[in-house]
Amino acid sequence: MQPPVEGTVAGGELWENEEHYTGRSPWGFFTPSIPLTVTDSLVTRGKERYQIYCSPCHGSDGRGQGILSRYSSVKAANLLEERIRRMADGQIYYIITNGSGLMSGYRYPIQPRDRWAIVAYVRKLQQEAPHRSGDAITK
Amino acid sequence: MRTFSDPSAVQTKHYWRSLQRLFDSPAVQDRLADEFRDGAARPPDGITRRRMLELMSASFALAGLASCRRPEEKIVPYASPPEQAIPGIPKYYATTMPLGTSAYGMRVESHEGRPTKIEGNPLHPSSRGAASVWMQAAILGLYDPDRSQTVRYKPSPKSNTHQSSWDAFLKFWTELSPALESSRGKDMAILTEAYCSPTFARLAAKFLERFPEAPWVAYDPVSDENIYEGLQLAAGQSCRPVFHLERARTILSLDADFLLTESDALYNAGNFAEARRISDPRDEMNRLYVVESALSVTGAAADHRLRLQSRDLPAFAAALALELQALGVPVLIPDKPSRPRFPAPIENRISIIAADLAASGSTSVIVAGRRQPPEVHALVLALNQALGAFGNTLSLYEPKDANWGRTSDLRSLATDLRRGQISTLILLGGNPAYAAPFDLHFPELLHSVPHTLHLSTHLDETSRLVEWHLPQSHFLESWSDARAADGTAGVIQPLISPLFESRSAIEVLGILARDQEQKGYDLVRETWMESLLGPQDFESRWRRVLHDGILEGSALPSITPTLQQDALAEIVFPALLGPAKSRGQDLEVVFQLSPAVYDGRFANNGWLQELPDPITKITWDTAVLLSPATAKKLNLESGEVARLIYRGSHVEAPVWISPGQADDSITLTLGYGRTAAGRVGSGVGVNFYLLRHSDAPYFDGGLRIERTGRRYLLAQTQDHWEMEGRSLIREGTLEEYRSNPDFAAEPQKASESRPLWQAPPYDGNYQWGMAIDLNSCIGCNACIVACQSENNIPIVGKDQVARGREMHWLRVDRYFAGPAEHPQVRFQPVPCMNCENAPCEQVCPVAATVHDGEGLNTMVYNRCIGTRYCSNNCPYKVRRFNFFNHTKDLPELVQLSMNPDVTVRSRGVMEKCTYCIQRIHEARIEAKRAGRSPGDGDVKTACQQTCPAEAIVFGNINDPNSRVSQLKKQARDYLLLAHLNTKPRTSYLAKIQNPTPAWKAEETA
Repeated sequence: MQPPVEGTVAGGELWENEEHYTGRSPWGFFTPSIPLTVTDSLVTRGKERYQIYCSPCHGSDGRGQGILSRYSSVKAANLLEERIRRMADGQIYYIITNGSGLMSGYRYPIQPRDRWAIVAYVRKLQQEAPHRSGDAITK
Repeated sequence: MRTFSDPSAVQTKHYWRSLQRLFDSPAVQDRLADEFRDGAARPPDGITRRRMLELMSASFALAGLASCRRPEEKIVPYASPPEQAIPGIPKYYATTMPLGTSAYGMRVESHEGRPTKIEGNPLHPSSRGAASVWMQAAILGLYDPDRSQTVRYKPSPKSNTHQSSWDAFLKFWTELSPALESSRGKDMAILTEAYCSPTFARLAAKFLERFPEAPWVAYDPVSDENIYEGLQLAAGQSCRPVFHLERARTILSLDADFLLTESDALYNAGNFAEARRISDPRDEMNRLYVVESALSVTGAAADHRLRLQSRDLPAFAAALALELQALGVPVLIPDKPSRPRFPAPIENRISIIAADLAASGSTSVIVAGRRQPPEVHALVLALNQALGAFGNTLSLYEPKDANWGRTSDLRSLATDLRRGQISTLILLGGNPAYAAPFDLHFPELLHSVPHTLHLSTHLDETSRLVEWHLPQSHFLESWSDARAADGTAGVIQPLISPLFESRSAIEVLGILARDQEQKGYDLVRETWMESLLGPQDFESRWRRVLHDGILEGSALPSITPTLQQDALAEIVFPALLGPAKSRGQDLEVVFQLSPAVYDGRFANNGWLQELPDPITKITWDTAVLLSPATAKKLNLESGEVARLIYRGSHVEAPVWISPGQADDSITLTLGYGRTAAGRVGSGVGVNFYLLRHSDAPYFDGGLRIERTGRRYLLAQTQDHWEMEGRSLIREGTLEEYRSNPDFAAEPQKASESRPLWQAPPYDGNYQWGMAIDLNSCIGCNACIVACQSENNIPIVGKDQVARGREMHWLRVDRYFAGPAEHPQVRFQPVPCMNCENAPCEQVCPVAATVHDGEGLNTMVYNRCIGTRYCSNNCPYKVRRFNFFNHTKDLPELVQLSMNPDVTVRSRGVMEKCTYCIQRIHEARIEAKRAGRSPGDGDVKTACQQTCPAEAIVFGNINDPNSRVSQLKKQARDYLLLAHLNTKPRTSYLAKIQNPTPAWKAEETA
């Protein structure tokens, strides 16, 4: 297996709208809201991808109590906490893509559209979950 | 010989496939009686096996243990996977193949970072989605294990070369260059190949800034030099022609093979086929006249072909000009020229052609071949202008960033070298020791220069003589750019990092110009930033260029030059208007480009070596082509070795009697007889560059031929699989078609054979079928190489081809009709017919070949035990048997070229065309993911996709609106051997010719 040569562009990877693929504008600002039309099917897709890739650490409810917490002392972020609620959509997308802290980037297994779908699903989790006192604590 | 009753014999024309067949030679009669050639059905013997493995080792392989029937493979994961890379899902990259001053856009399939298949780039103006044999075969060229892998240094002419490094070369150059710079480059010279590339041109200018007095010489053994020079002569400015054959009603070719070997043939073939495509008796068609010496693919496509020696063509063009003038076409010709006179039959032809051209006016066009001298091109440009072709059927463009090469420059370089004026000679690409005109004695000259350096992909004839050999990157692994004929700028982006320690031509030129290394990527971006795109919004536009492969809107405006009447009157006409001389026994020698290995640069490519010549069907060899009458006069037979004597040098080569060849004209194909091409190409054929001189690069008189009495085996695919004279090709004239559109239909007769059991209904959603329009097919062979590349078809070598064991799943049959002196030629691509009532399936004892629900006749390799009953029972002879394990024992490198979607077959297995079943599955999966069904055009077979003439159409025959259904509905549609009741899914559309009645009347008179 060979990595593609640096600087080449494959067909279908034009990425004219840079924000769509990086979550950031060319000037480095995070995209404030999801650049796709958020539909039920997108959220459903996001849920499915979330359950596969995110829930082991962040838990299926997003509170960071995934199966990992039972076996390891590593703490995954609670996605429902205020800090993350205040993040721009683009920043969550950026973290999914590139990772943050101990979390590694998921740019390889999750396609850009699916990453935005996950962002949409995380927002849904946040909206549905009531605020708890512990949620406001920042790490 | 067996005879067959054929109820479908609707043909009246007598077709033959070779001269031996036409003249009923006893050897051929014996062979015909045996359906399979001697040895084709016999087990292998030891000696051939060894030679075969030798050849195979350079050609194809699959990893594995030598004795293992099913080789084992290990999957290696990406350690840090790149974004967007899904294992098993190919990616497609746009890039460009430069060839001379032409550029062909490509879309290359890449599996996990390794390129595996090349298609044309639909956005590129020169290829428009189609690909030539050379484009298709480039993938094997990339994985050639004989490519040069390291820098090599040779301290003195007598010593051997030894391994060195780029660092050592850089050190050498930075020590040498200040001295050269201080003498302003006076004692150095640079020789490159022809190019048309913005970045190369920019760096060339940089180089010349540093070394202003260094002679810059470009040279390609076969180039468009004559065309450029001629147009310059007539127009007073540099220009290159682009023909719009789709708008032409009458086309005349003067020695121009514009459908195959001339520049931009893909573009011309597409447009030509477009103008001949008919679906209704009311449709119009163009008419093509070809005047040429050797039978070319273009000559085969002609409605009327006139054979004439190449050296007579200038006079022919002049006579035609006078004839046109007499018909009122405003050609400006000086007073009272002496009209060259030809024998009466040719004179009549001239008047017929002239009348047709004059009648078509601005919808006519004349194309002159690169073989003809500049004066002919100048005259032809004047004629085209007088006919009103400018802006209609012909556009002229400025050749920007181009250097097409000049033989005169090469000659003066040779003079400088001989005088010892050059101390440093830089060779960027090219192979002058092999391909430069013989009279310049380049190999000896190279020895006399103190410092020589040569950049080339292989350690070739030239590399072995120079001080520094530098390995060159393949274009699929380097950055560059190239302009198409209309000036459209295309980018060359790499599909893979260089496999070896190689550099591209622009990178080396960068080193030479600046003494420091710079990446090709940066050099190309610099050019595009400076001139093509500009800094404004560069990144996103650059990304768009890489994505599309071209810069949209970068085509140059066409130019309309004022013709230089003085030059035409004083130089051009006097040069052409001499009276035709009588020549007695003098033979003409004509050099032509190989339709397979080009000028020799692709000699180490097994796919191209094994590709049968479109006309002679000879593979793995070159032959001296001569007409039946000349052969009789010289007392030569096909396959006999003759001694060719010309200007004091002589070469021995096998001769081949070629129908349609001009009498007393001997055609020699260049590109063979390499001595240092690699394990595939070295020693194949004869090197005719040894007879080529710089003052007569394309044709000349004065050739003598002597018999040697020896014989030589020429392997060809011609007499195999004889179809016993059934009406396989059906054709009619436009007139016949209009009066009886159903002329190709089957006579209403009950089928002789009845099915043994009830046929399945075949009423599922998808029923696959194919239609091949013989009216569009030009016989260019691109489909054969495309199929070979897509389906991992092995190369078998000359010996095996001679035994009738070639493995090509798709063959292009070539038939001749009419007299041997000037026959008509017909091509017929034959893939598997995928018969609904398949004879092969009925005899397979192990159900290895079975039908699927979508009408495909499938092959289950795992079940096949190699009885070959199926092949025996196939009336179309489209099944191929693996007598050897062609895919073992081979370098790892060539394994990279395999298509992972297609099974690699082992020994003892029968195989055949599958209608590219892997592509059907891919389209189905893709459609399913998108929540729809595969639409028309979603599945394209490899042969269909590459065809420049769009002769092959594949699709769902249960969808009445699909293109294939529409074609099959046409009155011209017919089936091969329909009376056998095989119900083939592949059908053919009869060929339509558009002859002029005047020519026919002449013939019978």
